[in-house]
Amino acid sequence: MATEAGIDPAEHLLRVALTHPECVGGAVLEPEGGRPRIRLDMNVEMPLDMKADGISSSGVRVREPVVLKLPTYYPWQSPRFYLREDFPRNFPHLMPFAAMPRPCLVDGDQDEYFFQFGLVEYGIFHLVEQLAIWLRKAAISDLINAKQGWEPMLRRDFRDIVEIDADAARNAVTKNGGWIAWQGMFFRRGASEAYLNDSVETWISSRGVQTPLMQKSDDTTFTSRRPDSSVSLGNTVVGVVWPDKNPNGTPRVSATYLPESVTTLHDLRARAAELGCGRSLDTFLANVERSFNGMLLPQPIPIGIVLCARRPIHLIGSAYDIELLPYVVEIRADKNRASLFAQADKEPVAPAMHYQSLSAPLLQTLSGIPARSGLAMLGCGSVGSKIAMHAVRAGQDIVAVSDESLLRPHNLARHALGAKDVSSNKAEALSKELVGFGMAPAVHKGDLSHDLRDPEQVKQIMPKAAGAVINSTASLSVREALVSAATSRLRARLFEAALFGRGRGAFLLVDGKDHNPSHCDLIAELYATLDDGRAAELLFDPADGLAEVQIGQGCGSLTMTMDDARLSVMTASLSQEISNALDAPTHEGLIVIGTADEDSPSTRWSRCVVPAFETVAIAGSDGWQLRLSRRVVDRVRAEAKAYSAVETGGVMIGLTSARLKTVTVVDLLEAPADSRRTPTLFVLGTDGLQSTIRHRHEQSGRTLFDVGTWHSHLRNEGPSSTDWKTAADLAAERAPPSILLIATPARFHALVSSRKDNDG
Amino acid sequence: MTASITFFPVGNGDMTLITFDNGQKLLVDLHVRQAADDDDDDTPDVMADLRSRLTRDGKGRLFVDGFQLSHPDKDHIRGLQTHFHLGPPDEWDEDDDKILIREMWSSPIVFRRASKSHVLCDDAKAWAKEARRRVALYREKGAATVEGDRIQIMGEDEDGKTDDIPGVVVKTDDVVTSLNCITVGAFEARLLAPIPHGDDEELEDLLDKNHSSVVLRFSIRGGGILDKCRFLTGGDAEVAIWERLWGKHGTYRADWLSYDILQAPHHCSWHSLSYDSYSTYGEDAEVCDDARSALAQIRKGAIVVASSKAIDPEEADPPSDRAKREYISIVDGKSDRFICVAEVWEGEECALEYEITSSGVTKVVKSAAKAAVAALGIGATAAQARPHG
Repeated sequence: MATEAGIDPAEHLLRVALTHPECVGGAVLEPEGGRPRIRLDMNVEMPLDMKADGISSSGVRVREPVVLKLPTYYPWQSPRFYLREDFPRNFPHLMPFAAMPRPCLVDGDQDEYFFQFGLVEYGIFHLVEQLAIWLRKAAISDLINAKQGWEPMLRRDFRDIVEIDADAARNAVTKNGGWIAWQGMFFRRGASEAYLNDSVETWISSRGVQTPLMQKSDDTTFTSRRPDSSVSLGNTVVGVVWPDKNPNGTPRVSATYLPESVTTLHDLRARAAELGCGRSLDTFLANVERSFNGMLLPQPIPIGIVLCARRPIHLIGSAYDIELLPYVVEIRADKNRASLFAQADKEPVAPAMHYQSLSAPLLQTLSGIPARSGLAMLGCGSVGSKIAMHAVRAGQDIVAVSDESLLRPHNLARHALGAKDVSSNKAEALSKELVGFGMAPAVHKGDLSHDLRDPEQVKQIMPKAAGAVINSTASLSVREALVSAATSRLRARLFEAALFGRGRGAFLLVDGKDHNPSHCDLIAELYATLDDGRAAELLFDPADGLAEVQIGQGCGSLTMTMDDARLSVMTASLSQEISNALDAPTHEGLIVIGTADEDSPSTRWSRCVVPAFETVAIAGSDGWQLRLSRRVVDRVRAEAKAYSAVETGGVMIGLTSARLKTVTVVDLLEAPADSRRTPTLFVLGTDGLQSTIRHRHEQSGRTLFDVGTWHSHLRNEGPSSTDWKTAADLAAERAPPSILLIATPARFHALVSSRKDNDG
Repeated sequence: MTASITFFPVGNGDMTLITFDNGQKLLVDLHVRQAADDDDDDTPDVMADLRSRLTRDGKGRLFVDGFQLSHPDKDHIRGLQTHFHLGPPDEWDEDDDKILIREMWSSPIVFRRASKSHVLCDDAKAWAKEARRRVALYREKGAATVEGDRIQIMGEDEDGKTDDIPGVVVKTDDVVTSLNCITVGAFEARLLAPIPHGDDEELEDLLDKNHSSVVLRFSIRGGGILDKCRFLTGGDAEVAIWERLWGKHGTYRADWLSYDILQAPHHCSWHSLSYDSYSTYGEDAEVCDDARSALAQIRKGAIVVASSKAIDPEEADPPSDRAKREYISIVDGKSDRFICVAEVWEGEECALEYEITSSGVTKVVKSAAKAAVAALGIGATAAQARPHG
């Protein structure tokens, strides 16, 4: 006991309660069932005219006696409050059933509320305060606040559960009265001969699929099996019943708050009649009865009934005015029965709690996020599986999953899936998990770097419904294959998410409008611009850097040591960045890079917006393309302008992809000091150039190299014969293509001399 | 916004804030005793309370939409210069941070010169000066005045000084429906007095400040529903006024005097109910039946509020214990329907406030949560020296 030793807890409670200004009297009563009881006399302020009568228009008195019982574990439990027996019942926030009505004083668990005050005295005082407020509101029937919305009937403490999608039930409601039967499944705890509201507990769930109620020998609408003596489960139905319209054609509105007091079939019919659902309920029950004509059932089967009450205003926290009132009743198809409801009008009916079925809107509401377009997942490894699970838990659709590998025991170190899926294909196993969330993703188990180049397979890997594609394969070949598959017809935004540096670093690439910049452009841009020392260190570290990620599909992942928590931290942030990009789409590309501290949980993230790359067809090649970063274009233009009277130039730094036939330029090196600039000729010098190029290569983690030269023309003239000759010389000197870029005042020209020509 | 009426604890004096359900606020009278502005004094800090109930305008100025002065006596106007901005609204000063009066409601007494029989305290003089400034501005600009320059005169001047400004004069027996040029049906207030004395010589002789008190009967909208609360307030109007009001309206228009809340005139003075001196006649002093009738038109459950010191039969009038008993008899003999503002302060340490909602007029109960610390005696250990052996 938190109270002082030797002080009677009832006396103590009364003493504390009397310090509240609205508690004007009270007494310790005779204990009941061994539990101490206290009566508090509460003053209730109400409008002057009602006060003169001593009772409010809703039936609350100016002085209300309230009985408190101390539960067994007081003060580990809070005192229980009981109003007088004849207290008016048509209030929300009143617990149903009790002979002495119990006010629902706090929004949530009263014991928890009591506990938030360390001092027992404080807790008592605040409960009395809540009681005083409750009574004042009850006095003017203000417990339903029109602005806030209709207070749904209190169903919190019911044992039986009906799990349906509320929106589906509401959507079934039409202007004319009616009912619909849905397929359902039940779980029933309790002996066959036991009854509802006694020792039986049920859980009925339905996915809202309509079912006819007919009599067929092989019908599986109702089934039951009994794994052990205490439990049965099987198929059943849920009947959704809604009100008839008024005789004058207007919708039937039930504006009176009624406490939940249904305990029998008779009560249920009466309640349905009050709500305008009487006719439809009778029809539904008659149809159930008819479908069992001549049939026997070894076990009782619980069925769900949901009455839809139309309220005058929207429900609290909802845009709808339809309140769902679920009940459970059991049918017993015994031999020689008069009815499925053995006790006729006295057949027990249990009011049930409503659980919302898992649905995307429910998940979105709980996550507090907007609806987002569906995802196609390329790669279902640890990063991909986690991104997928984050998305699906937020109510985002996953329309396709692709991975060719099997879930192996070592994957469990970090994968979102569990041990039961080991030895399954990762994509298949993930899709099964997603099915539980109501998703039906297409599954692709082939080699992505190959299949992405086949237009037919691309339709399966990235279906039209996908608004975004997430490549988490950490594979260079998949990156390039994806870029090659990114035609103008592919509407989805492409993302690449990867970790590096043993999970201490992560990046996200988001391609631009019309897939420009592409992921290849973005990675080159990242290499060229990375100025975060920590990120560069991690990214370019020979042991832990990106090189390791590149072999992530193979056995490399075995050696990439990081724990699940580390991987999850970085992946969760990547997920948030994907969501940010989807919620606020722009035309530009985006690079997001994050790093984690070595010895603390801190992470740092930066975003870099990358405009579309300028593309120039390369003359003299079989379809090659030069792709220039906006930064490079700006620098070329600026330097040409600075040397307005002579030609100038320099060396281009970037990447080349033979498979994509692209040369990507992301940096420039200045012309060496011994270069010559004249109005008709630019001669690139050699002083220190080789070492500068090598240095730039090292600086970029050995990723970027010289891809050719550029120079300016003063007039709008294309390549000269000198230019073609230089191109041929360059080609002769090295195997990788070496491009000549010419910047005239109006446009760019690019040329290359193929080695074939040179050889010839 | 919930409409409400708040009576501030100012001893023998009046200070009442009416909040309408459109959010507008009208202050009726002001009595800020010097001690109330003293942090170290127990006198309730009514200005802090008032300011906390007001809002600021776009220029950062705290404001009341209206200030109704019943009559220019100290116990109804004290603190005006200290706490309210007077003069052109443009001259409002951020450092002084005084309250802007968007519209004054004043009796025409401001047109009378001070004389031996018409002595004015400094705050009353300041009020009269400000009222005359606003009237002059109205004569110049007409209805084009801005917030802080507006005024309505409650009653016509007997000497014709308001004849040229009918646009801002409310005639006795008419209703006021606008406050600061806003008319949305949130209230109507019938002007019952000052009563033009006309040929009533006796009344002319009686026409000192108390007898010139503005008497208004408000009908206030609550939660969007008209006439949820009737509030009768009449400054220090005395028995002769109430007697004449009953004479004028008692037969056909008694309803004009009906109320849910009556502010007992003149701080529950005996002289509002009787011509007889209580000190001379004691319990034999007779109630003036007509005056009593004027003050007895209760609606169901109506209450009488005495804005006065705590009532002690041994102390001088006002407040008068004899008057209190008379008022209790008016409210069906229910002593809990006679409420003294000072006694509320002693018990609850807060102003007396009634909320006007669609349900009716309900006394506001302050959240007791804040009071819990004191109520539970937390900190009491330190309240006095405790010997420890």
